[in-house]
Parts: sequence; structure tokens; C-alpha cells
Amino acid sequence: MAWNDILKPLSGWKFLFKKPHTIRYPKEDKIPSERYRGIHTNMIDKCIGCGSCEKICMNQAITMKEMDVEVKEGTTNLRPVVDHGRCCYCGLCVDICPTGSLWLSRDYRHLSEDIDTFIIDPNVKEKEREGWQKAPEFSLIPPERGKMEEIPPEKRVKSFMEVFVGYTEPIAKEEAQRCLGCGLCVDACATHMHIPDYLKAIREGNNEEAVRIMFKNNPLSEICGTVCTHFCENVCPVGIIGEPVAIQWEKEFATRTIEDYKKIIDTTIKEKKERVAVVGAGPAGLSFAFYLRLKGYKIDVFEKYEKPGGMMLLGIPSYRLPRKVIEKEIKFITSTGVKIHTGTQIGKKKTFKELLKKYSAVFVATGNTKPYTMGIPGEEGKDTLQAISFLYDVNTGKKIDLKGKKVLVVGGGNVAMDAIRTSRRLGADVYLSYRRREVDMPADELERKEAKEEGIEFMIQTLPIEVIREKGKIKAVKYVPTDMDFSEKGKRPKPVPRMNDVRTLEVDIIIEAIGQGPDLTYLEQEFGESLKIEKGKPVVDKNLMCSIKGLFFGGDMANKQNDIVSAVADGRRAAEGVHNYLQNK
Amino acid sequence: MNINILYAALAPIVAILLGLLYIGIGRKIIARLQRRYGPPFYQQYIDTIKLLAKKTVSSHGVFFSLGPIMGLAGSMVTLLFIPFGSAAPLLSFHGDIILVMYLVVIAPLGMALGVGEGSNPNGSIGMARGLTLMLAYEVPFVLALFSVVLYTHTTSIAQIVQSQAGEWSLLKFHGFNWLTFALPISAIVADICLQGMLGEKPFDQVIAPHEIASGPMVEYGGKYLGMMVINHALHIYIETALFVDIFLGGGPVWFFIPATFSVFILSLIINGVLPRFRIGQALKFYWGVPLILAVIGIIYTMVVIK
Amino acid sequence: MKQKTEQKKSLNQGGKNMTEEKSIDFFEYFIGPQHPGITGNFGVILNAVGDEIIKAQANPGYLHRAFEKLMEQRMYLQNVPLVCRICVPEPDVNEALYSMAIETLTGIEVPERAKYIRTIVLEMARLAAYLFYFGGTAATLGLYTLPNWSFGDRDYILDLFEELTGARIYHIYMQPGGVRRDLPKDFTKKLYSLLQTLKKRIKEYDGIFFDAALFKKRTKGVGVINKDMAIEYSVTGPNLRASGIAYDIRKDTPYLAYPDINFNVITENEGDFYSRVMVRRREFEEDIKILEQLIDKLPSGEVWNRYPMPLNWKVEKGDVYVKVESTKGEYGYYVVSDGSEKPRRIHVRGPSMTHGIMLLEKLLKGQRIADISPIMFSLDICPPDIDR
Ligand SMILES: Cc1cc2nc3c(=O)[nH]c(=O)nc-3n(C[C@H](O)[C@H](O)[C@H](O)COP(=O)(O)OP(=O)(O)OC[C@H]3O[C@@H](n4cnc5c(N)ncnc54)[C@H](O)[C@@H]3O)c2cc1C
Ligand code: SF4
Ligand code: SF4
Repeated sequence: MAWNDILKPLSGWKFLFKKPHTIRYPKEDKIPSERYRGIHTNMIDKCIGCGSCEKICMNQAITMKEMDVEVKEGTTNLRPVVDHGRCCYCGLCVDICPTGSLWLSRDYRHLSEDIDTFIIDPNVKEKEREGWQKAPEFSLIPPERGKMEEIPPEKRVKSFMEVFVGYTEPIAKEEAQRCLGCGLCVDACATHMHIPDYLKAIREGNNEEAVRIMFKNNPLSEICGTVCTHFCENVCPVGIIGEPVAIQWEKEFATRTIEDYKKIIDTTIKEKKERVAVVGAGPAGLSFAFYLRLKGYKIDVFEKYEKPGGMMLLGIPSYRLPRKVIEKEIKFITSTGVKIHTGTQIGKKKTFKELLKKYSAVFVATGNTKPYTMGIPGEEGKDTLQAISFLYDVNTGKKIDLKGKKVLVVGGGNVAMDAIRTSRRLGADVYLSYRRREVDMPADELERKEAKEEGIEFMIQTLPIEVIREKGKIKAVKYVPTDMDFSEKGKRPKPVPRMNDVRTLEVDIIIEAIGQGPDLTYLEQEFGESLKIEKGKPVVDKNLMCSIKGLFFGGDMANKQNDIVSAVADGRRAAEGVHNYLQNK
Repeated sequence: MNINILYAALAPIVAILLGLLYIGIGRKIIARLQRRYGPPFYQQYIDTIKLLAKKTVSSHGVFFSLGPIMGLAGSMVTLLFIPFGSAAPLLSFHGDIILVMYLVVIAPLGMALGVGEGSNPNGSIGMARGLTLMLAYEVPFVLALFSVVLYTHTTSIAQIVQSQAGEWSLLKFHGFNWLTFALPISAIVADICLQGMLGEKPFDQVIAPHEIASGPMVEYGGKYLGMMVINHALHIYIETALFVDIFLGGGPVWFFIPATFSVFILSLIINGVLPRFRIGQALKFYWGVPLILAVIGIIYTMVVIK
Repeated sequence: MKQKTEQKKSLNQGGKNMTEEKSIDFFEYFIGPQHPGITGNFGVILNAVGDEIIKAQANPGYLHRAFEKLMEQRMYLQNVPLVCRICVPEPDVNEALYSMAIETLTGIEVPERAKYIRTIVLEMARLAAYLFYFGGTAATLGLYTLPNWSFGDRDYILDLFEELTGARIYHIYMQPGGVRRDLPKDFTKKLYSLLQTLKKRIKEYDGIFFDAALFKKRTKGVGVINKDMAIEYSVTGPNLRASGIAYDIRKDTPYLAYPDINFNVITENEGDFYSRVMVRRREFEEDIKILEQLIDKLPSGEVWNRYPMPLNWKVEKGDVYVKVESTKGEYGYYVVSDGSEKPRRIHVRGPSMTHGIMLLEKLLKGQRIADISPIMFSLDICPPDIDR
């Protein structure tokens, strides 16, 4: 034992006069690091109340509480409240929060004798003392959706074959895993399909169950899976950090795995005596017929055209919606005992009044048939087409050849998209004129992308002002660029034309796709004043019954959304309404 | 007589206040060594008052309660024999140095009585260790004192102080009269023993928190614990004062207080950087080098006297 | 003074000790679960005669939180914040193991950079755990200055952890597929300068503790584990290396970034208390070297390969055992998945189970009361990992 070893410990005393390195709280304080995981804070206005934070928390520290907040589209009035007695400050809730409204602050002190004060309402208006925050690249929700294979543009413009190949089972299962189960989409869906439930069934590999769940709310699930406007995807919180869950394609996948719905869906019916008539075999009429038939009523559907399907058949081009899909679903509906009388236009030989007499109730869903026009000089003529009549012609098999022609389509909705892509497939060079910005287009983003891929030129923020004709034929179109006016808050910006900057574009054909409305002339003739009409649409109550007893309206002619799901939802609601009406008569 | 009563009453108070102050400052110094700021120097007062103000929750019988009181009483009596530097103690007679040696034992014995009744093995082991340790350091210590007695020809502490007295002033240093210089070996032995008496590391086996969870104190709480803290403070004062009186010549107040404090700090300096001995090792240690040194000290003293 | 206990019914009444129990010096002594000299909430029931232990019985269970059972009730990701709680002084091995097990089951690749970052975290945790160990061991011997220093220095590592992971103790930083965030700005620079400070500090520790005569006197020859015994009791980690067996999982079955790193396996020969401390003391410097290499070689790139959405995440059917080297010994996870969202079974193989019960009981026999807690600390037992 060396002397050195005995005396060496005294070397420690060199610290006697050195500055200690501890922190004298509360005189001094250590500021936590930038990533510190402290007490929660949540931006109340940014949070959408999806409840994902509640689900991921393994300590059940978060409870969603109803709060006094403005409920916007795709949000709920629920907001998280955190029990800091349970929280372990792992920050998983932050990493899963799709909006990034939630973060852990750099505060970590809370002292109280009252344990109730440890349940902290983290909701604030402004950002403050941010610690652990959401980092987009580390978000727990995979941002990319399962890859959908599609026919390459060069190939697809040559025919009317379906563009999307559809999901395969593994991709569908993986995609279904991305669902947070928040159910915000259920509210956004017009017919409130139980999306999280059927996605769960799909990822468990139980497609039959998934389809059963779908058909509870939508007898045209496969059609919707193919061409729906999918408002559900627009509100899906996963879309905030990346691409929303491909709800529509999941639906398509599940329904296409089923060959015959009859086999898996229970359609036993207890017959009732009452008979109900339906006018128009579009989605509204068909789903109305289906649900009311399931309740036991005898249904007769009257359809003007020689095939049922409505706009799905006569408007939507077949490269988007293969005809066999429509046939499959209608076959299932008719298999329940719904009778469809095609080629029977109501209002001419048979009148609505007759139907009302003969049947206990009548549901009218004749759709939008009257196109709007621009009303600019030189517009009228044979070579100015209306998009829906153009598509009608194409879909009913009329031969139209646009090879080498220059076509200008005006409008920015889905109908415009169909018009441009159909013209393209018929061989035309296509231009699209839209008066607002591209982001303002009602048309689906995916469709815009595809249209561009197919070589269609988008003339964004332009407004045609005059059609120049030579010998009655269109030679060119004069148009002006527009500026955006954002002065009206909360509304879409208004286009302001720059009138001094007139340009011309040489075209051969113009197709107008700027919207359409219902044609109510027959009804007005028959019922006159007793049928109340507002803004071109019949006024209906919550059961969709109009001012005339027993007469119900639905679909495009009665709702504002003008798409298939709303039509289906109307049909389903009207079925309930008619049932209630007939039960309480 | 009045003066005597006053002395008897004041002496413990002054001693306790000083002892607690030393502990308080000691805590600060140790804190610095450990790179901390440490509690304020008056923290020990606060703690003691707090403890005394507390209710005592449990007692294990009469002797359990009497233990700390006996310990405290023993220390207070001892105090009366310790000169406050050059100021004479209340009680002083020939042979009081021997008496003090006995009195110092009363406190631990009293404690042992109480702790034994507490029947907590931690306490019992602690007391057993305490008595063993006492056995260990007392032998060389007594031998060191023996050389002092040999040298000064007196067995009265007051007279030992007297023998080293010189003219004390702030300017003139009369330290050369100190026995430390006359009997350096014995002084060193006494200081080594002082480390054990104070229970500072490496000789804190009695309380050893990691081994026996603070030993004797383990069953005590509230007022009793407060009394034990006070007792500890008194001990620090008594032992450092004894050392200063005997080896550093007592001296006037302005010297005596800093001197006792320095002695305390010296033991802290060692305390701060060492682990503790196992109790057997402590015994072996004291009966090794210090004992031999003490004997050499005596021989040296006899040589010096001749 | 010695407790004169009549012969009580002892916890484990065997015929063997009857004669000793009758001795008047016999007493039963409980150390823990509430005791300054115990590592966490854990206990040892001792039968002593005088100052000598004749029988020691580990008394665990106070920290039983049913981790393994709880993990069966939670989704895979939800277990990430849970596992780290199994061992307080060195939680990161749990995170690493759990992630590695899930990665093996699912086949998720870990990016190179994430592997390095994980290794950095593990090594930093080793340093922190060793500082904790040095302080703890010194404190059991009565030297309270060292814990104050080493816990203080450990806090600088914790500061870096806080910067990196957002938390000081339970980092919840590794997740299957990589780590939760990339390194913050200047992290490696800060880490490097801290390592230089620690190198200097360990020399100061030497002066006050590792080289001190009294320390050697207290520890040499105490609680000896010889080679045979080490193997018989399946001792692992530094405790094993202190007995002269050069076995280190980082070297023998390397994982994460360890294959790219040069380092020595430190051994000591005596197998006593002193060797156990000194192995760790020398490994501390080795770990600093490892960290320096890691900083030098740190590749750039991604740090996380994502797993499916955690709320619906199903892990492929199968089972796997993964193991890493922790400061306490071999740490392993056995994970069984039945293909659902929740693990079917997770078994944690903590080193403290073997060290803290069988080995401890054996070692304590015949020791002095003063050496109980030092021996226990020298084995670096982590009671939460015994109880799980
Ligand atoms: C080109 C185009 C593309 C579209 N793309 C989509 C899309 O991708 N996704 C989507 O969700 N929606 C789309 N829509 C809208 C969707 O087709 C309609 O919203 C939906 O078909 C409306 O359904 P409905 O039942 O109300 O009316 P309709 O589908 O219009 O059905 C009305 C039916 O009533 C018949 N009828 C009319 N008058 C009479 C009468 N007097 N007597 C008997 N029968 C009569 C009609 O022949 C027709 O079959 C598109 C529409 C168009 C025009
Ligand atoms: S996950 Fe985010 S958006 Fe959803 S409820 Fe929680 S805090 Fe709000
Ligand atoms: S930080 Fe972790 S424990 Fe706390 S509320 Fe969020 S998910 Fe739950």
C-alpha cells in the first residue's frame, strides 16, 4: 500500500473553491431542451377531434371531451383532455396526431394537493413553448397510399378500357391498415357508410363481411367504389400528412372479389301489400327501390331510356365505369323482386297523377337533364355541344369522329373532365378552359392528373368571351385571362376578367360543361302551384316528401351535391321516409 | 452561586449553538467538495427546531425514551468540566481528566440502553459497533493523554490549559507553548482518535447508512431524533474543545472558537474523501499504528522530561 | 448487544442451521425493501450469527408490475414506452432489444445511420449506467463524494439524451425500424467534447476512489466469484469478465454497429469485488473510445424505415430471441407473435435475475454485515428487472 494511495484522495479537495455545477432552483432554472417531452398542449382550432391520440395512448391518459368549438366539415367537437397522473410522456400521441395540433411543451412542473388538477385541458389558441412536436417524416401514419396500377396514358387514350387495374389483395390489406378508425369519413359520406368497419374487415381478409357492411348503406357499392366523388377521402385526416386512405379503391377491391351478391347478402323479404312507384332508374331510384323492397313493399320502377342506370350509364364514360359493373349491381337489385319498366317515360303517356292514384307513394328521381349555357356571342350552332348530350351520344353508341379536330371544353367539373377525356379518346386535340385557379376546380385531382397525362392542355384562369364563326362554322374563340378576387372570405375566389388582354384560339368544336339543372316542366304542368319549387328544385321535407302528399323527390333533382352517393343517400332516406309515411297513414 | 447556575445553564446552550453551527458550515464545505452549493449554514438549526417541534409517533418503552435523555444529560455534565479556552470550567479538580474520560462514555451507554429496547437489529448493530469503536480508539487516546499528564504533571484539564498559557494578544503568537509542539507524536495520535470519537469517516460505522440504515437513530423520530442531533452537536463541541484545550492551549474566545472549528474541519477534510473501514478493520487500525505511536509518544515524553 | 432472538420459525426452516439458530448470537435481519443500502425496492432476508451471515435469502417482488403480462395486452408500438421501464439505470437496452426483436419478426430493415445512432445511445447509456454504478458502489463503502461527482457528471450525459430524445431517463427513442428522430444540430460535437471531459474526470475519480488504499482494503478478496462458479451460475457481463472469462456479446455475436468498431474485451482475474469494480472502470474508458469511433464513422442518410400504421399493425407469426450486452450482463428478449396486433408472449431475460437471486444468496453466505450492500452493488443488480 503506497503512501501515494493513502494521500491521493485528498486531491478531491481541489474542488473546494471551484464553482459548483448544480442548479439552485428556484433562483436558477434549467431550460429544457427543444425536444423536451413535457405537459401537453393542443391547438384547439387545428385539432379535428379525430381521437387518434386517445387510441394510441397505452396509459389511457387521454379522454376525448365534448367542447364548445365550431364544428367544421370533417371535424368533431371532441378535443383531448390529458390526465397527467397517467401520462408517461412518451409522445406517441404527438407522433400519430395527423394534424400536428398536439405537441408536448417544455413545461414539466405541476404541483398540487388536489389530484383533479392533474387532469389538464391542453387546449390553447396559440402555439407556446413547443417541445416535442410532430415531425412530418416521422409521423406514425404512412403517408403514401397503396400503389394502384393503371394503364399507361399512350395506351389508354386509344380505347375506352378501364384505366385502373384495381388493388390486389396484399396491397388492399396494407392500405386498409392505414385507417385510423376515427370515423370522420362516416359523417362526410352522404350515405354514412361504415368505412372503418369495412376497412377492418378487409384487412382481416374478410371481404364478404366488408361487402355486407357496405350494402347496409349503399346498394351501389361497386359503382361507388369505381367512380364515387369520395368526400370521405377529402376529410380523412390521413390526407393531412399525405394521401388519404384509398377508401374508394378499397371498396372497389372488396366488391369485385364477390361474384354474386345474392349469395352473401341476406335478402329474405316479408311481403307487404302496398305498392310504390319510382320514376327514373338512376342511382337514387334504384337504391330507393332496393331498400323499400327489403321492407316488403312492391316496387315498380319506370325508366325513360331502354336500360336502367341513369346518368351512370348515359353520362359516365365506360373507361371510368365499365358497363358490366352497372349490370351486376342492377341485376342484384332486380333479383330482390324490384320491377323495372324501361322505355316508359312518365309525363307523356302515363302521368304522375295517375301514378299517385295507383300507388301508395311515388318517388321521383329523374336527375338533371337541362344543361346550362355560357350565353356569349356566336355560341349557338351545331358545332357547339353540351357535355351531357355529347356523352349521351357517345354512350348510346352514336358514331362520332373527332379525329384531327380541335376541341375546346369549357368548365372545370367532373363532367368537363369526362368530356375532354372522351373527346381525346375519339381522336381530338383537346383544350380545357377554366376561369378559376386549378386548385378551385371541382374536378377530382386524380382526374386532372390523368387528363394531363393524356395530353390535354389546361388553360387555367381563362374565360371565353366570343365565338368567331366563318360560314356558320366555328373558326376560333376569343378569350381573356382572369385575376382572382379573394375579398369574399370563406367563399371561393371570384374570377375577374382582364378585358384589355384579348387572345384567340383556333378551334373546330366547343363543348360546354358548365353544369346542368333538372327539367321540371312536366311536373309544373301537372301540379301547377301546388308543387312548391325553389331555386329550380322542388322543396322537400326531411323525409324528402314535397308539398304534395305521397310524392317524394330525390337524387340530382332535389339535392345540391349532384353525385351518385348523394343520390343513393336520398334513395335510402326516401325509403325510410316512405316507410314512415305509409306506416303512419 | 447565581453565576454558577448561569454558567451551567448557558454553557450547554452556547455549546449546542456552536456545535450546530459547525455542522452547518461543515455541510457547506463538504457540499463544495462534492461540487454542490449545499444548504444554508443555518440549515442545521432549522432541522433541529423542526425535529423538536414534531410529535413523536412511537415509543418502545421507558428506557427507549430515557436513552436519548440520558445521553444528552451525560454530555451536559461532561460539558461542565471542559474549559472554554482559558476561561475556567465550572467544575475542576485534580483527576477530572479521568472523570471526563468516563463521562464521555455515559452518552453512548445511555443510547445503548434505549436502542436496545427498540429491538431493531440495525440499532443494536450500530450500538455494538459504537462500543467496539470506543474500545478501539480509547486505548491509544488514553495513552496519548497519559503522556500529556506525564509532561504537565497534572490531571486537571484546567491546569493543563494553564500550563500552556502565554500572553495572548492578536499581535503576539504564543503558540510555542502548545503541547502540540512539545508532544507532537501524542498530538497526532490524539487527532487520529478524535476522528473516531467524532464518528467521521473512515470511522462512521455506527451510523453507516448503507449498511445499517443510520444505526441507533433508526427507530427514533421527532423529539428524540432532535435530542440525538443536539447530542451530536454537543459531542462535536466537547471533543474538539477537549483537543484544543489540551493540545492547542485553549486560548481566549477569539482563538478558541476558530480553533475548535478548525479541528472539526480537519476531521471533515479526511471525512470527505474516504470510505469507511469495516468495524474489524477499524479496531485493527487503532490498535496498530496509533497504539505504537502512542507508546513511542510516552517514551518520547519521558525522554523530554529528563 | 446482539439480538438475542429465540429460535423463531425461520422463513426456510431446514435442519441444517438448527445448531446455529440456537446460538444466542443468532438473529434474523431484513435488509430492504426500504433501506439505503439496497438497489431499488428489493430485499434480502439474512440469518446472522454475530456479524456473520449464515444464510441469505433474496426477497424480490416489490417492483412487480407484470410487465410481461402487460405487454401481451398492448399493441406492438404501445409497448415501446413500456419496455424501457424494466430497468431504470440503463433503460435503452430494452428499447433496442424490443425493436430488434420486432424487426427480426417483420423483416423491417434498419437504416445504417439508425444503427449507428442506436449504438451511440446504447454506449452513452453504458457510460451513464457506469457512472451510476461507480457512485452507488462508492456510497455503499461510505464515500459520498464520488456519487455526488459521478451523478453530477452523469447529468451531462442526460442533458445530451434530453437534447436527442426529449427525455432524460426513459428515452423512448428507439422504435422498430430505426429511431424516432434524427440527431439534433451539433450533437456529435457536443458529445465529443463531453467525452473529453469524462476522460479527465475518470482520472479524478481514480484519485479519490479507484486508487485509494482504503478502497482496495475494503474490496480485495471480498465476494469472490471464481471461473467455475461464474459458469455454473450463468454469470454474464462485466461480472463474468471480472472472473477472467473474456465474453462480450458485442464482440462474440455483434449487433447494430458493433461489427465496425474496434475495441478490447476487458477482463480482470480475481473475480472479487475489486475486480468487478475495476472491470467497469476500465470499460468506461473503452466505451469512450467506442463512442469516438462511432462519431467518426457515423454515416448519413435515413434514420427510420416505417412500419404500418401502429393502430392496425399486425406482426408476422413467429418467435425470436435477441440479446445484447448491457452493463449488467446479457439482456435478452424472447418474443412470440401469433400474427395479431398484440404480442402473444414476451419474455425478458434480465441479467439481474441470475445475479440478484441465486448468485447473491451464494455470495452473501459467510460475509460480514458491512459487506452485504457493497457486494450487492458490486454485482450491479437492477431489481425492477428481477421482478419485471
Ligand atoms: C358526365 C357525368 C359524369 C359524372 N360522373 C360522376 C362521378 O364520377 N361520380 C359521381 O358520383 N357522380 C357523377 N355524376 C353525377 C351522377 O351521375 C348523378 O349525380 C347521378 O346519376 C344522379 O342520379 P339520379 O338518380 O338523381 O339521376 P339520374 O342518374 O340522372 O337518373 C335519372 C333517370 O331518370 C330517367 N328519367 C328522366 N326523366 C324521366 C321521366 N320523365 N320518366 C321516366 N324516367 C325518366 C332518366 O332516363 C334517368 O335514367 C356524373 C354525371 C355526369 C353527367
Ligand atoms: S390526434 Fe390530433 S387532431 Fe386528432 S384528436 Fe388528437 S389532437 Fe386532435
Ligand atoms: S404522451 Fe404518451 S402517455 Fe402521455 S398522453 Fe400521449 S400517448 Fe399517452
